[in-house]
Amino acid sequence: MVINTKAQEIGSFTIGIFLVTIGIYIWAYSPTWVSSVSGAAAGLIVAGVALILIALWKYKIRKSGEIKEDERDYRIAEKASFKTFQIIFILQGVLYATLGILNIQLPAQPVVGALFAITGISYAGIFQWYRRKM
Amino acid sequence: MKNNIKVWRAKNDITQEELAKKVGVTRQTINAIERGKYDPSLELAFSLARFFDCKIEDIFAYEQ
Repeated sequence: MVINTKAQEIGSFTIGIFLVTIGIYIWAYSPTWVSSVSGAAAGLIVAGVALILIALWKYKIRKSGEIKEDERDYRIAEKASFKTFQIIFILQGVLYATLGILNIQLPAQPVVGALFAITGISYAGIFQWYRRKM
Repeated sequence: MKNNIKVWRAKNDITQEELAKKVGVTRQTINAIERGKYDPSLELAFSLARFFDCKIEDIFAYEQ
């Protein structure tokens, strides 16, 4: 399996810089089209910094010539992604149906935040579970 | 899938770490294959066979 890690690193780093720049812009200038300045800025900066750190970590590994990831890790990632998709899909389906039946109106930001957190935690947990199993 | 990588390693007097480096994977992957927890890709199976200078069937056996 050929995976262009260099292109991934550049892509990740570029998107990271872009997100951080937008985050700093929102934080510094508080544009009127942003309703929650601190939330949006923090979210963008954290996501951007995470992408930059991942890119730098992958670059360091590539340059050292050390093998930290291989086909087994990619297989585990595939399985963890699919399981996470199943969990989130079912959860969202149940949530959507419940909200529709009970006619509940929820604020979007906390709900999206919770789904975001559940996605991340599920993926990390399932990844570790498969890593022990495989 | 059954395999006898451990036997081939012993024959060639090579550690999991050294074999992993030779075929471009992590030691954990070699360990997982040996324990039958992970079935390698065709590419890795060919690499292992090439390294041990044998056929894939000499290392791996499919069991239903």
